[in-house]
Amino acid sequence: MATVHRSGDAGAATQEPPRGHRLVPHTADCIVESWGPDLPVCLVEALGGLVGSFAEVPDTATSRVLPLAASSGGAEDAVVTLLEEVIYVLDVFSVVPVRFHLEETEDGGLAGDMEVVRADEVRLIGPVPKGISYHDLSIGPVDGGWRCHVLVDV
Amino acid sequence: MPVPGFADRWRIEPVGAMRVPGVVFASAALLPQVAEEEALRQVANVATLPGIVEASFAMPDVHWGYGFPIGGVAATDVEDGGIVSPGGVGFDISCGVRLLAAPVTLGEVGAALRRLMDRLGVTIPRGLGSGGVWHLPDAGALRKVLEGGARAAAQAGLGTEADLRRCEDGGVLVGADAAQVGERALARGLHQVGSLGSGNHFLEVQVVEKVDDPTTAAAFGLSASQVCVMIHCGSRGLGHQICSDHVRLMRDAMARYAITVPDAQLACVPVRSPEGRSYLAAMAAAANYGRANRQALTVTTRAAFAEALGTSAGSLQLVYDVSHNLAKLEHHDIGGSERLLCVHRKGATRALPPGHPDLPDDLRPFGQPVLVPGSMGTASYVLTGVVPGEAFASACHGAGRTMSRHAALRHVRGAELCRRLEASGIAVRASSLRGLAEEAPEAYKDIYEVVATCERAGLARRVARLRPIGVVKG
Repeated sequence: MATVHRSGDAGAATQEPPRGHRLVPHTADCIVESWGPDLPVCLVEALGGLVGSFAEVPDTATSRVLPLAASSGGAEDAVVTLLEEVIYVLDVFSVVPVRFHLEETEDGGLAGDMEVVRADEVRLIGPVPKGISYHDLSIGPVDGGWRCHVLVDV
Repeated sequence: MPVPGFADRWRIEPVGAMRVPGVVFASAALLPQVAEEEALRQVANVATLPGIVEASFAMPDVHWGYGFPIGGVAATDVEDGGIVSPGGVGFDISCGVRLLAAPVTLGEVGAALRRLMDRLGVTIPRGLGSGGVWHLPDAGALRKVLEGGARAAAQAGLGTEADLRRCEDGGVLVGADAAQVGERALARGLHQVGSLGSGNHFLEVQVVEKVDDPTTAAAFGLSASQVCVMIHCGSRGLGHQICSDHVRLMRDAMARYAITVPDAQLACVPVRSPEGRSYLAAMAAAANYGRANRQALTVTTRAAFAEALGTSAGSLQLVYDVSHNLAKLEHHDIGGSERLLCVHRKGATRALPPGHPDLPDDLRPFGQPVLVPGSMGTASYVLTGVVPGEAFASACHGAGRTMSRHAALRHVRGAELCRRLEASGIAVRASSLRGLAEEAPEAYKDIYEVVATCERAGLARRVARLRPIGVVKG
């Protein structure tokens, strides 16, 4: 099962670690890039990148665990569905996911969970994400691993 | 290439799948910023959409968006296979601006400004997980907001008939159907009515610094040295979810209508299709939510003024409320015949010329107020529409970003910016210093140049200039 590790700006490193995420400039919004050895890890990193774009999370214990899933509609739909879930729980339950776990299911989908903290426990460090765009969205196998590039509306 | 005989107007000739040319309104000073980024490619992409008429337009504040550029205007002929695209509206449906005019001058506010800003800073919800000032008990109450807009707010005691007369469409966009709004969108919207959100949304206390047209300014309710409040926000999570839901539906449906698009975020369907009707009904519901949102914040603003400056100061009058992210069914003259068009304005403001029948009686001789917020710390403008109403009667919606959020953070530190703004007489109440830095004035185009270009290009003309004296930042 893939579990998120918070990564720094891997773009600054001379050699890219096997998994990670970074934020890429966009004029008005925010682009998250992630990579990993397989699809679940790549997605978990994208999720971590999304949260890192706006929240500095504390090392306190998480308060709840919420389910996380995407049906077998393809990797593009999976990344949009999963990232939208972060935005959804933020708006509806006022919680911020801080750790993600995902694995592929037998029917080709993805399932797992996310550990969350109350929104008032995080420090806001950037604009809050509000939507996930299909514009220039890419996710797929590259050089033996997986890479994702996704634009977040803020 | 420049369009002969027209100032600040450039044409992108149709090539490949483009059905119409692109037309960019930009001065020589703005053009390099427009050309450097992806915006022009997006203007060309929009020109490929089925049913598009005249041109894919870019306002002087155009910049890189997703699908459509931000600052894009495009109209499709509804009876000729014209499409509607959620990407032509944007995620934040009915994001818009309202301007309130206070019955006090800057001199009368004096040292009480700090008290006023403290009150607004406490009572205006913004940022992360903040909830809204209008507490709706259940989804049934929310549905009334979706179908009633600012009028529903007024009926609940949050506003007056006078407010509604100064709202685009009287505060209610017709055709809204809450049944077309998904459960997730309803859940996201239930507790956010009356909140700014974050990003570039704000509430600013401003003062009328210069009146360019005293007669029109007076008709709008504005005079020199008057204190005003500008509110910029939209339909919050509900509008975003509606956009996401319908883009996904349309991606799947496009093949049935033999539509292909150069960018997935341009997913679209004919206006005259079940999916098109569903989107427009849901979009109208979000538009009404956005208007109710700004109406609820208006009441909170009035209360803050009354508390900080005395009861009489709380009677702020609404100058106008206009959405700058919307698709509307409008009649326009195309090649000598009146056509029903679906006009997409994404980061562009409707700018009705004088005499237009959709204007309220007291504004009809003067044109529609066009509210143009500048970047934080710089001027904002009140413009008015002009004859004949170029680009389907549209104008700019702001300064327009020129620097990414990353780049802004490299150039500006939030604390330093806060000190700079305070030193120049602008009281700042921000929910995040980093968020403040990302919205630094340096990250935006020159608002003076954007407005001057609008004027030279015949999109709108100046009525008054306002400068900020206090910022509540989302």
